[in-house]
This record gives sequence, C-alpha cells and structure tokens, in this order.
Amino acid sequence: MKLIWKFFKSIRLTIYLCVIYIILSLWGSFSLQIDGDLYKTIDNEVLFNWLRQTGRPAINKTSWIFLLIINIVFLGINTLVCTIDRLANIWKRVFNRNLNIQIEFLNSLKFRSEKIAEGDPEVIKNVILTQLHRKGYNTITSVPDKQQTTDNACPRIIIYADKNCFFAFAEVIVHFAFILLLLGHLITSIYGSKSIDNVAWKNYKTVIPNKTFSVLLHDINMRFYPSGQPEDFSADIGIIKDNNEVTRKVIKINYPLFYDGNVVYLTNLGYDQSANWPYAVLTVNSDPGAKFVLWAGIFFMIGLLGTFFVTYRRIWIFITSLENGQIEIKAGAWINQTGYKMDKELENII
Amino acid sequence: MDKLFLYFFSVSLVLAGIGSSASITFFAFPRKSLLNILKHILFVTLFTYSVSLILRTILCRYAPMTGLFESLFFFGWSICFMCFIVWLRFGETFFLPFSFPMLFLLTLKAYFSSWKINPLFPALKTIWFALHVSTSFLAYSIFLIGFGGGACYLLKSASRYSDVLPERDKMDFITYRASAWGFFLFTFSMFAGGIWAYLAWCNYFIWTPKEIWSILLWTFYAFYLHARLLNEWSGKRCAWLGILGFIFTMFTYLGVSLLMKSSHSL
Repeated sequence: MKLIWKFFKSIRLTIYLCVIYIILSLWGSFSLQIDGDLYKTIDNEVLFNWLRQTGRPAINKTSWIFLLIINIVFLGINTLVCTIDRLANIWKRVFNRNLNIQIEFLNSLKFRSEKIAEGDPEVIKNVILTQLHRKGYNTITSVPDKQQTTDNACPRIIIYADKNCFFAFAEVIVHFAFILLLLGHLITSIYGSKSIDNVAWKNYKTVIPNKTFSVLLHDINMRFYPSGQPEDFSADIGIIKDNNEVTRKVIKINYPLFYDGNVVYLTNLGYDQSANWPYAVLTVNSDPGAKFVLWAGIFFMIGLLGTFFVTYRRIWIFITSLENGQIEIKAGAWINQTGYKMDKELENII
Repeated sequence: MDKLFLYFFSVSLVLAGIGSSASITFFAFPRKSLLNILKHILFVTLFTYSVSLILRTILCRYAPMTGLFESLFFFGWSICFMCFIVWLRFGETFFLPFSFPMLFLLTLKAYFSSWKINPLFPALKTIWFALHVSTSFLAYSIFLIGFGGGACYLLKSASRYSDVLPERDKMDFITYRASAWGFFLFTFSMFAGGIWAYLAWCNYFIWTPKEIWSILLWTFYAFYLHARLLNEWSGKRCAWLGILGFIFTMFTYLGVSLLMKSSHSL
C-alpha cells in the first residue's frame, strides 16, 4: 500500500502523465483529421454512449481516446494523492509555528543573509520586529534566556515571521478544482443526455425524446443585416408539462432556456416553403456535470491567483549574543515561488 | 476615421519593421544601446497600435477580434502590451529582439489581409467571446516573452552575448513568471470559452483539433510549471521548454486553423 501511495504522490509521475497526455492529444488531433467521418457524431452524443456504440467497434482508430481516458484517470488519482500528501505538510507549515529549530535548518534555506551588529539584542529584536510588521509579516518570538541551543551556548533570540500564510492552501484549491473538473466531466459523460434536431412547428407541441416535457413554439423572429447575413434570430418557446405551460422564454443563440436540469438551445429556424409555416430546430441537453465544471473553473482561477500572484513567505531570524559582546544576526527565508527578490528583502529586514 | 486608422496602423507596421531590423542588428552586433533603442520603439509602437485598436473598435462597434485580420491585429497589439507590462514589472528588455520580428510578421500578414468590416454573427455578441479571445492573445503574447527569455538564456553561453544580456537567474525567473502569467490567462481563456460554448454551441467542449490542441497547450504549460518544482528541471531544460511552448502556441493559433479542418475559427 505504501508503495502504491509513494508511486501516486510523485510529481515525477505528474510530469510523465502530462507528457503522455501531450503525445496522445497529438495522435488524436491527427486521427480526427484522417478519420473525420468516424468522429462526425461524437459531439451529438454523450461521450460514453459514443464510445460504446461507435468508438469500441472501431477500436483500432479510436484507441487514443481510451488511452487518453486511462491517462486522465491516472492523472486524477495522482493529483488526489499528491494533494492529500502535501495538505498535511501545508497544514503543519501554516499552523505549527515552530521556534525550536537549529542553525543547520537556517543554513539549508535558499535565501540567507547575515550581519554583525553591536548593541542591546532586545533593541535589535524590536527594530527587526518593527520592520517585519511594517512589511505586513505576522511574527512570534522566543524568550532569549531560555533559548540555549545545542550548537551555540550563547543566548539567542529566534524570530519567526510569515506573510500570506493562508495562501499556502492555494495550490490545494487548484488541485481540488482539477479533480472537481474531472468529476464533473465524468458525470456528464455517463449520465448526460443529448437530443438534437428537434423540429418545433409554430403553435404545435413538440415531444422531446426521453423527456417528461414537451416544447411549444409560440413564435420566431429573424433580423438580417442589409448584406443578408443574420443579425439576430430568436424563438419564443414554452415548456409544457401535464398540459400546463410551466415556463416560457424567448431563446436565442447565447441565451438558452434552463428547465429542471435541461437546457433548450435554438440551433436553427426558418419557414417551410411547402407548408408556408415557421419552425425552429431545438437541441435539448441534460448536463448534470456542468455545474461541477463551472465551480471547478471558478475555484481553479481563485487557486491560480493565490498560487502565482501571492507570495507566501516564511522568515527565521537568529539574534545571537556572541562572547565578544557583538550581536550576530542570521536570517533565512522560504518562499513558495522562485523568489529572486527575496535576498534583497532579507537584507532590508535585518 | 478609416484614413486615420490606416495611418496609425501603417505607422505601427513601419515601427515594427524598424524594430525587427534593430533586432536582427542586435543578433549580429549585440549592444546594450540597441536594447535601449528597441525599448523606445516599443513605447511608440504600443501608442500607435493602441490608437489603431481604439479606432478599429469605433469603426466596427465591437471588440475587433473576429476573422484573420482582426485576430492578427489584436495579437500584434497584445505583444506590444505584454512586452510593456513585463518591462514595467521587471525593468528588462532582453526579450525584445525576439518579440519584434514576430510582431512585424503578424502585422505584415494583417496588413495584406482583408480589412473589410463584417457584421457580427449573433453567436459572437457576448462578453464571453471577447473575454475568451482577448485573454487567449494576451496569453500567447506572454508565451512569446517566455520564448524570448528561454532563447536569451541559451544565447548567454555565447561570449558575444554574455555582457549584453542580464544574469541567467534573472532571465530564468522572468521566463518562469511569464509562463505562470500565461498559464493563468490561458486557463481563464479556456474557462470563458467553455462558458461561451456551453451557452452558444450546446457543449462546453467539442472534439475538434483546435480544442484538443488548446488542452494540449494548457497541459504543456502545466507540465512546465510542475517540472520547475523539481530542482533538476531548471536552467537550460526550462529554457528549451519555454521555446517549445511557444512553438506549440503558434501551431495552436495558426497551424491548426490553417492546416487542419476545425469548426473553431482562428
């Protein structure tokens, strides 16, 4: 079990899966070109239905989609395991503000700065704290006379400071959103439904296959530019359930009608020349995963904002009174991004 | 108004041409003064391009991002804008010798494309379309800066460029930040595009080469950003990824639309 967990938490696995995804997508985009006829109906059906009815019989040509799905499942598991694994560390980092650290830890940090000063360590501590507070850091400080560490017998004050610490969870939000997105798409791919080319005649009820309601077309409206290109087209429709009109809306492209988990789209309209009677062509989809996908998108953007545009910083500062009466100030910092300006910030602080 | 637009757009083309010539000169005779000249050309080009953009918007009364001409034109403006933003943020111009030739080629292609203003198709009359397209081009533009950053990182090893270009760490950092901003913008573009497609085309995702390549490009940059988390994936490797990323970007934008059959336009 541990081995499986270790396998799936690896960021190296993420990289390999991304590379495989890219290769499969390349294969797929060319397959869509070469076998265009095979994929004609893929957008008119729910994915898993299409895979069952069209994809599986032509497995030699559509195997890239199956491999892509397997790859995405692995990517989803990898993301989930990696996120859970990192969550514990992030939690510890944010809520366990540990001052019981050794000089070796400070020396292992990427960003470091040090200085020798003279004066009262308490005054130096207060100056540094003021600087940190001015820059928006939250701080905690150790008591000097109790801080006798193994590596140095001199009295030492340790300051810990962090900034934007809750943004450490931003990457978790991104990964959570990615899993939600996959989940939403999976739900739609299994439980969704699509009904295309439903012709609704004016003043007639149109029965939609496999739905408990029908659609009544009240009227249509078309406007054209002087050039003859369509400017606007719309259809006034009502939803009929148990012989009652339960809702009514003028639908047009970009403005479909939402009813009871179903979406009614206007895809075409016109006049039948032989009957001299207006009609509208409707698509009725049920997309139970769409809400998940929408929320995933929102969370994804929020998470990315926090991950890329807010820097979460942690600083440790050791103020040590040396035997010769001087004060040694050593600082080290950790930052969640490649913090090229962090050196300067440390220098400013101490 | 038409003439004014023609005037400003032509000036933008000439400036992009001058910038390209200065860029080529920089590759042959690398001098810091040339980078400084390119910076000033960028400021003027951004001004003339922005005026052209405002004029075009007034002329067509919608966000000018439909069709080949407008998409190339908007891409050109996005390159100027993002180069300016990166200069503002980091005070660096080392990527400009790579940005200007691209800007010139796009502007030249736009100049010789049909400028005709077509009435807007009903499906395009939504804020989601404008958001989708504008953020796409801003992302493409910043990926171009990532490309320039990566290429400069590799050029730095040649002795003739070593004094002119900034420190490798700084270029590496700017390339990484460019990719992160680009990834954010491109994710937003896909999100806006998904909402638009859901409302207009009945599906938030359709199986066309354009959509597949868009996800491929997104995955590529996700891969790049994850790869940077591993210590051994930095420096030269990341520089090459920045270059490869922009090649994917250009194929997603132009290659797929021009070479493959796709219901998704430019």
